[in-house]
Amino acid sequence: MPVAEAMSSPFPLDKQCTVREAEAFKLVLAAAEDSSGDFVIDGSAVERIDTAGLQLLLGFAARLKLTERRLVWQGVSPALRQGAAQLGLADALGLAEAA
Amino acid sequence: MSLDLDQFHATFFEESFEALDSMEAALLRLDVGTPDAETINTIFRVAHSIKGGAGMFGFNDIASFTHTLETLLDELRAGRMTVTVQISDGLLQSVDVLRAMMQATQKGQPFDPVNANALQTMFKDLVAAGSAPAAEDDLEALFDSLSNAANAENERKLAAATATPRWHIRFRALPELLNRGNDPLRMFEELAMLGTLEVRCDLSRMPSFDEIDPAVCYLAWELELETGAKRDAIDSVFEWAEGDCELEIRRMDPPAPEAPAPVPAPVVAASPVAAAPAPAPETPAPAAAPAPAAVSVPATPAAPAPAAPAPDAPRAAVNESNSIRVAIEKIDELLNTVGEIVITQSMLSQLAARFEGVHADRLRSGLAQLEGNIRELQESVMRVRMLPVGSVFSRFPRLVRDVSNRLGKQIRLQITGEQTELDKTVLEKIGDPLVHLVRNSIDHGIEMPDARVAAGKPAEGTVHLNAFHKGGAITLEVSDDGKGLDRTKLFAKAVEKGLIDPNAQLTDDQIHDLIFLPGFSTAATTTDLSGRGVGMDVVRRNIKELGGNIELKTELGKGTKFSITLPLTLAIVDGQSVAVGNETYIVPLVTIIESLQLKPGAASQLVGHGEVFSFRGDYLPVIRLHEMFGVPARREELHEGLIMVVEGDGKRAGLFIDELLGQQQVVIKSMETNYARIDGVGGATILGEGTVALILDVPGLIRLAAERQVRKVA
Repeated sequence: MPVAEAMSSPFPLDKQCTVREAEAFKLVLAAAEDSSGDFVIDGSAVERIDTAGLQLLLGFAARLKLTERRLVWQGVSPALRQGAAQLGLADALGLAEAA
Repeated sequence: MSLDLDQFHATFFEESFEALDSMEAALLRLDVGTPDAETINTIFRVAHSIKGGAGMFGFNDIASFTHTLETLLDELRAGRMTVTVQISDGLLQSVDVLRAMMQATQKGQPFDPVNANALQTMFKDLVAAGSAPAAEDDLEALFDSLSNAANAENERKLAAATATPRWHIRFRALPELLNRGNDPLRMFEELAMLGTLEVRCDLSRMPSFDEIDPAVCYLAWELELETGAKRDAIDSVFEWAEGDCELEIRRMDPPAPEAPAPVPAPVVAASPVAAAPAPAPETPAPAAAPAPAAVSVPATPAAPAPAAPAPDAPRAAVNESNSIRVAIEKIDELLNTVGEIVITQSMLSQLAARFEGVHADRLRSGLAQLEGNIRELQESVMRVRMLPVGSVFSRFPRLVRDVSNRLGKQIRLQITGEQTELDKTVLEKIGDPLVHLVRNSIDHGIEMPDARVAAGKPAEGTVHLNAFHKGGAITLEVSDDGKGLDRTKLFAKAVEKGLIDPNAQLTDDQIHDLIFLPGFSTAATTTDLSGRGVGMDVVRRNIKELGGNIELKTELGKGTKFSITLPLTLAIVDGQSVAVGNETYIVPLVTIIESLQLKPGAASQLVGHGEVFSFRGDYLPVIRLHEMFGVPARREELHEGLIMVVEGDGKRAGLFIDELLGQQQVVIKSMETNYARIDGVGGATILGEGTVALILDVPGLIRLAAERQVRKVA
């Protein structure tokens, strides 16, 4: 399960972001959003992600956009990048330009 | 709080076991050296699907094993490795390993990883050895490999030079898709393996973040797939999502001139696209950008692109959903309810018989029509429980292959009648006895090739599995053209084991019947396959427990045939209702030989055997049912009532009853479930007037009567 840390550091995604963890993932993401500015997220540890996990990130990115904030990727694992690309979500998640 | 996926495990296991059966069947079709590409694809897809499901449910051992398996299959698929005997055997073993892993996981039991680890190591080594079949020092295989690689390269060039078919796929998840363990990401990964895939995601139904249910997929996709793969391969990607998605697959470019016109029909869609409920929330999506994102995902490097596009149009309707998976408990509940309706209808009919007047005839006529309709309903529900016996027969090609290889015998398996249908419960219980019979045929029946040739037979022996319906029952046959049973050896063995008297005069049938005795074996040396003398008696007992019978016919030097006769179902029985005192009992029709009335004095007391009467040259014991069940008798003298001659477990007896009432099909209610097990009683049923009647277990009753007689003498 992803764990929220202090907002000064990037929000780290856990190894697994699948439908199994999705309920908790949503709660943690919602709790972590209480800050101003862009939301920095670290996806370098993601080993497995599925449609449910990517859909939540998509919803979260849209929520940030409502307040003119962005989801900023600090790290992107191959599994995360490939999964988003495979579902046609890389652009919507801002992963296309992420390093 | 996390989503509880446990509820979907049963479906995953059920579908995976079925998929493994398909994989095994495909592996058995796999030709060493020159495998069919589609066969390898089929095997690959099974491994890939199981890997995806196992990964999703957190069954990491299974996911890891299938990942290694998939890597090897990918090499085979790409033509970088050839299918060798070692690989073919290893892949078959992997099916066993996966079955064992899934069975252990399903039961929550630990799994012994030795075989899985050994296979994984072997597969990894083979793949690491590169595209050359180094594991087999076989020049021919090496040339085959080079030839295949060249062919694959040529095919790739040819594919590039010709127009590869393009497919347009519209996919929208329905609310339960994710909940049922289906993941669009995994499906698209599979599609991408077939060729080049372009993906556009439609975000228009995404709700706001707060309104997202994490277990519901709100996305839809437009996909374009360029592939030389057949339509079946595309359909199979979405196979497990059937009913949980809206799906439309159509060919974008015109087909080859000789092919029929394509039919852009939707497939797999469980509900019409237009009528499908929208999974979107009530509020429109305010946040998510509706602009579809597009990305081109390159094909997996390993994926070959066959040159010739396959005509697909005639398949358009083939994969439409025309079946559903229903838990057997639900069908049993339905059957039970139908049984209750039968009882109620019978009560009403009896009541109506007492009415008189203008409307009474119309009432009776209506009830008669209702009776017919209910019978049809009952038969329809019974048919739902019926499955083709082929689902059991399908395990035997592998068994025959493995066992004959180990024994150095050449054996051809012939299967006929696999479409014959049998009740699911019976079907599940007949598998093991059949396995034992087939193993016996291979082990003891079929001779070694040189012995067969010396006997003037072809070196290759034949084991034949057959099934057919006969007189309201099903007959399963296991026959072989082996050496047959040796009467003299059987007799000598039985004497040696002290099973019969050396001076006993036995008919051929009685001698052949000896093999069903506990502890009997004629094998000179026992093998781990059979010959420990603990099998045939168990086989017969299991078949008897199913209400069936097993017979054998054998001819020395020509072969042996075992015939198993089974009732079509265990849920209902054709019975004869009989009156004893004020009680009614049901005697299964299959156990009844005939009913007769004895003349006064026709029965006599035989010391140690109790009351007996003469029947076709034999003396049969009389079983007075009122005494067995402790009910007040209406008739005490044998000649006043009837004797019903019955047979069970090869033993006959005469049941003394008051009178015959009528024949009827009754729904069996379990005594163990509803009350307790009672010796001599196989179950109970509810009669038309609402009373309970016991269904007799004739073999048990004969046994019980004999035991009581022994106790009486003692």
